[in-house]
Amino acid sequence: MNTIWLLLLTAVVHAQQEPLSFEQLADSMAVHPKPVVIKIVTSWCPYCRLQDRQISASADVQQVLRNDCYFLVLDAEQHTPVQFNDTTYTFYSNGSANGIHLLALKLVGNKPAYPAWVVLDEKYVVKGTYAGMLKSRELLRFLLLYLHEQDS
Amino acid sequence: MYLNSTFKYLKFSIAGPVVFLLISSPAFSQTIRGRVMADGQPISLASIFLAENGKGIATDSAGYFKLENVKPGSYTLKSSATGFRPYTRRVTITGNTPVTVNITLQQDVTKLNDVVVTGTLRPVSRAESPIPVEVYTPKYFQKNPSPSLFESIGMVNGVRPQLNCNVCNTGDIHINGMEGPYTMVLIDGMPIVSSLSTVYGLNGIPISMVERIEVVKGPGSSLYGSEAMGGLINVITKNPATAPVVSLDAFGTSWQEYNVDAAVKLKAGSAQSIVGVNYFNYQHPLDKNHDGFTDVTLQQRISVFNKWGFQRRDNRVASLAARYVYEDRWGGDMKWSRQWRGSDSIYGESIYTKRLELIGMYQLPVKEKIMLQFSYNRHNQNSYYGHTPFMADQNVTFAQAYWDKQLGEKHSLLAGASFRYTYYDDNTPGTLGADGKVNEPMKTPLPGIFVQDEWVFAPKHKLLLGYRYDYDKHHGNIHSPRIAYKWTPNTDHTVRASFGTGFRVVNLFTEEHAALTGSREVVVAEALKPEKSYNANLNYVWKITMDNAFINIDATGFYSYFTNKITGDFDTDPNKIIYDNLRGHAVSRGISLNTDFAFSFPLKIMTGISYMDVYQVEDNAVGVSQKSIQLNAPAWSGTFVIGYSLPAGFSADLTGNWNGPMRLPVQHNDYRPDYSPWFMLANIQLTKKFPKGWEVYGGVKNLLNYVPKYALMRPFDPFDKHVNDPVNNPNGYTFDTEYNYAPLQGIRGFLGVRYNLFR
Repeated sequence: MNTIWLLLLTAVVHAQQEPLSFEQLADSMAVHPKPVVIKIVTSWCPYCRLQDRQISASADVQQVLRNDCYFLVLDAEQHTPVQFNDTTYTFYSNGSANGIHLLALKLVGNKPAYPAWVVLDEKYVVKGTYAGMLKSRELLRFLLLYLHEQDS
Repeated sequence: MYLNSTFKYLKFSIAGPVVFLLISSPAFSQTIRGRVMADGQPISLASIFLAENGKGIATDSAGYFKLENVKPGSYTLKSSATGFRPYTRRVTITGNTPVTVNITLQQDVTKLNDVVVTGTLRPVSRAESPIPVEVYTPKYFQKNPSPSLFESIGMVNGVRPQLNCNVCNTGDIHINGMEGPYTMVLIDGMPIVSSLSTVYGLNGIPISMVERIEVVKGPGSSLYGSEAMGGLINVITKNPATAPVVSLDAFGTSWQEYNVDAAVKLKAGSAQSIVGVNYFNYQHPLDKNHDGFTDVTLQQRISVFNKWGFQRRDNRVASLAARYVYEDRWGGDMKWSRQWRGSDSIYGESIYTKRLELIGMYQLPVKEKIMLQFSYNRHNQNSYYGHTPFMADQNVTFAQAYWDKQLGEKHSLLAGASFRYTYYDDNTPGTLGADGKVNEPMKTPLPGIFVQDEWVFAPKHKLLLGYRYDYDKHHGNIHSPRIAYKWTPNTDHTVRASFGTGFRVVNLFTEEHAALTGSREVVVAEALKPEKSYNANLNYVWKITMDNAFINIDATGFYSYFTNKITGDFDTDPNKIIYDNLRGHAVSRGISLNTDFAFSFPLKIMTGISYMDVYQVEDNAVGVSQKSIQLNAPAWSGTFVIGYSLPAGFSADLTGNWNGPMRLPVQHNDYRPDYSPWFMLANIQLTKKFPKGWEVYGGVKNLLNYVPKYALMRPFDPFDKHVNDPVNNPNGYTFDTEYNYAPLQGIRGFLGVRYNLFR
């Protein structure tokens, strides 16, 4: 019996899910609507890397991200357009090489800070945002808070 | 849905313990229930969380919660909700009794976002390009607020704002030890600040109009043309679309320096606009070193900035910006007042500067990405250095078109043409006809074409090839190639290697002219070559991620070779100014290391160290080459920024820079040392964030109260009226203001307030 428990535990720890892509999201939502969690990052942001460590250190957070929502990652400075909730968002250039992706701008507003967490409900309504790195427990609390907010 | 998702969560998180409990002690699992209230009202959607096992739930609309299947033991129960302070208490579960916990939350003045302060804006980063570009945002410079870009830029490792004059506080920006004329300053990628305006124009750029600053150490003429020889600083102005609706930043210091930055955003149809005003005032003469002269130049400066951004189809770019700067500065004898301007009785240096800048960008409404850029600036200087007048006018008109094309997956092509026209006139013989009567302003048209390809030739390998051709009437054809390579074996390591060239065309602007009298014929040597620089550098970035810390190591080795320096010869023929290339060269080589630390707790450390060897080799009168160490280029220098975020919206920043000995301009038999001592300028700041975008900050600048021991030579005889006095002045010293390695401003406090309202 103890072996079964151990197996269960290891299965949980190793089942780190890959984030969904934006293309996959539309299909998944059509079949089975769920809340959406988006982690907004940039390539240069050190706290985004620390954030990933916090996620991989917590099986609970991984479970929530895998089961209670559709989890996506958006690079706030990517140049590729993204289809989200029937709208196409593109990169918004500041007249030179730099700029911000319009989806990131829409989700986090004018004060970009990374990593940023955004929780949306099944109807793509923003329920909660947080700008900054969250330690695994705080992240869990944050996710729980807003993943449940829609239900009441 | 509520029950459903809660159930799912519980199912997964408790699956293990439940299985375990069923086997060992099934009877002891218990329930924690309760209600969350604040000010007598139930709080819905508050989170309830057991720290020990990660189990959590949110309260319902009446504030009730129920945590089921909790194993006996002692737990830390935490609760939080938006706008309230986190709540923690111990809960012990024994036997079969359900536990009831009623929680009262306290209002939090700070928002949820501010409780855990690890959110970050990009303060410093390297761009994606194979060319090593360092990017800084105002966030970085706010760690030690300064009224102008000139002062702030000293926080960048390897970049040194050098004051060249202790009286008027003019300065230039040294990159890797090379003098200011080799540093190109661009606004939105356009040459707005050049030649004449490098001296005073930099003071007029308020940090408030800046979105970010890009620094390239090493030449960049293949893209930017003339003047980008030693390095370049590109100031990118704020984007009206992302700027705050209202912003205000005002501070004062105990030296009675006042700086106000204010901006509002306007909307007119599809256009958005920022109107910004910067005002700096320092009108309180101080002479703490008792030499009879002002320690810091008195200044009054107003800068008005207006930028329009137009919303267009497919996010095409269209923007138009204008800025006007007026500055009145004077320094000198404490007894000086405006009536002595230009006289030879009481010494003062008084400079009025007027500047107008126009910057426009327009993307053609075609499928291809074709950008048109234009800029115009007019710089007018009306000045007296003692009794020597210097009146100068400079207009720079610039236009450029480029085509940005992605060719397949692998090539990113940039090709374009530019035209720059510089008009320069002053009251010196430098711009006067040979007869001394006809004014002959210098007119420099400089057309050029450029092409650049960023080629991903293999996964993780990027190559940048660039080439530029310019035509100048004095120099003829000028070629500037560049090659850069970037290798990213994985996200943790990046290696860059680059080779670049820079050039500068002959420029008649020299402050030395002001001292010349009579008429002179300006002769430009027959085969005058443009000043040239060649640079190679190797850069390595290593990102180390640990569980609770992140370290970014960024090391660069550089070697730059400067040749064909153009100087005006005033001595060979007293009726002429002969411009010719100097025989000799200069070298700037060294290593710089930037190390950034970020932690999972709110401490951030950024440090920079540079070691460099900068020297000139010139032929002396008999043709023997002689090496001399570059003035004002310390072999060792460094910067640091240490930031810590505290609870309740407080944060503290310790910033500073330090310099090793640098060679200084001394006179024959000078009593002042040839080399400066080691010294450090450190600053501390405390910031408190309030709700609704308010911030109050204050601190101490020059915490260690470092002021140089020596500054002016013979301040009591600024007009050199009594130099020929073998008894009192046996060494024949003359008045000079150039001996400077640190500001004459000691310890001072500052206090300021910031407000940012976003839509």
